[in-house]
Amino acid sequence: MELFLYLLIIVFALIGSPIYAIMTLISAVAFTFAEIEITAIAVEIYRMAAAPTLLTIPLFTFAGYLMAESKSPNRLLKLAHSSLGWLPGGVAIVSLIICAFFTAFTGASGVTIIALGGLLYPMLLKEKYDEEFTLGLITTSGSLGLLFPPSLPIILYGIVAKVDIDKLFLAGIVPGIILIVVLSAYSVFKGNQLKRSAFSWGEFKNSVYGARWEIPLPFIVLGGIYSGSITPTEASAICALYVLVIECFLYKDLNFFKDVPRITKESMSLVGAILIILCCALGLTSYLVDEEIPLKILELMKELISNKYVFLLFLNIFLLIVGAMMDIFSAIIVVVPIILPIAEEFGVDPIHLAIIFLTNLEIGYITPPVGINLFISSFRFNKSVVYLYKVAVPYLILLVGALMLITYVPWLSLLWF
Amino acid sequence: MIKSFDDFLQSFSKWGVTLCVALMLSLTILNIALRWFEISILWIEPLVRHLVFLAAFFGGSLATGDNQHIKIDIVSRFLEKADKPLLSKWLEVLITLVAFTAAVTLVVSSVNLSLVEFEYGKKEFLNIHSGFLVSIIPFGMSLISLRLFLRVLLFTFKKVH
Repeated sequence: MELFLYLLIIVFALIGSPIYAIMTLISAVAFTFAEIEITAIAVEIYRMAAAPTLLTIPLFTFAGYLMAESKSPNRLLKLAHSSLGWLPGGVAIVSLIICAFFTAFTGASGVTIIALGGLLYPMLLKEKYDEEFTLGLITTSGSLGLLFPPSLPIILYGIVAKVDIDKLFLAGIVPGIILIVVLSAYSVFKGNQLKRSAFSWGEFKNSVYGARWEIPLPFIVLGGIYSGSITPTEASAICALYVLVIECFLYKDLNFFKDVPRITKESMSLVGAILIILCCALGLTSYLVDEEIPLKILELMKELISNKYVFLLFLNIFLLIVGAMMDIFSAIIVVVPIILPIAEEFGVDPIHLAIIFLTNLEIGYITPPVGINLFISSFRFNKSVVYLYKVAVPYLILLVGALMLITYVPWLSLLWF
Repeated sequence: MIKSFDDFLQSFSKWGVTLCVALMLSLTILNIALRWFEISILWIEPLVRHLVFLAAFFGGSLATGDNQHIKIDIVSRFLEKADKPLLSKWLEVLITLVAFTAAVTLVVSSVNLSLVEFEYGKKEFLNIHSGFLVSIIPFGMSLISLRLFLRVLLFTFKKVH
């Protein structure tokens, strides 16, 4: 009977039932058959109200949505274009950097492709980049900034794995830069034969003036946290207030009374969807830990794998599949509690594990058949998904190469500690 | 009438979440500002955490209204492309019923917890009884359950051409 119910729930998951409902039903079945009252699920849910860094999730997301809805993407694009447009592949590199910046703030929720895609697509085609390269670049860039602070998946990982978020913010910087450098090198290779625009001081000065209020933002957030003057939670509040003030009252891109409630609703709809999964998964996680499921998996793995490096290879393959099949937030909530003790047993540093985990899921966004960026681009640019599978392949190969580097050279993630 | 009631709940959730965000933002900024004057108000931090908790349920209700909950939607995408509207409709009804069952399970679980907390709990920050704080869960899940129930009705009576 128990097995039948689990199979039924899996069928419900595959036909498209919300992940939070699936988690709840699995927990309810597990607790009932273990003769534990289902009140235990609510006890675990309420534990979430004690997480001190919880506030960072809604406020950073709110700030990211405000920026995406304003003319901020235009201003930052002009700034990046005027500073890097003269390089071979410069416009493509600019696109990568701007997308990474936006994804760091919006958490790769598809907002980057939707908000920036419309600007970047005609711009890259105008510069004579071919369509396959352009679509592949935009699709890949939609998740490129995930390793940079204050990315939502990093914060969520920190909460779930109980790892310091400020340490994770630091650890992601170099691996995040490596991913951009690898894709930039490909852009240089593709853009080498194309005509370049000359560097213009006048244009550069104008674009710096245009983005004068956005430029200090990363310095305020990161400078505040690493100088020790504010916590990540306080940084999220300062960031949200700062973005609100500049977009509504200094640039006047947004109307405080008309646009802000709408943007609040849109951003909190995403936050609600993530936090409800987190709530519902806590019951399931507690059951898995009580039943020592990770330990049982570990025992099994120890019989098959004896070496840390082989474990890392299997971990990467497993996570790439997870990343292609599951949404990043669900994957963090469900998979992290299971692999964390196993990875520790194999001697993998928890911070290094976080970066490997997030890099894999970042790549999972463009991994066929169900990488979510492929579907978002297909919808946004009205192209078939199969065509997007094809254009994503070169980027996938490059990113997997970078992933191997990040996995087998832990120093890249741990050099700050 | 069902649609109007659902729209009312959508609007209620929207303004509820907006109020929560406004409060959490202003209280956190106030806390930072007061620190410069070496003043600390102890109830701000737990209150803000509970506001985030409440906002999560309002956000969950909004995601329910906008059908934006995170899911594995390979089958629905396939059906959309295959142009099978009748099958899509009944699949949507089934999915919503599954979500409704889960939400009601959480309402039952959390009502039990709230009752226990009202009986054995204690006063927390600002003299608020812990029973009220725990009741955020049954309140939020009831809101989501109600919206799911309305959606089941809306999908069932939806005309398919």
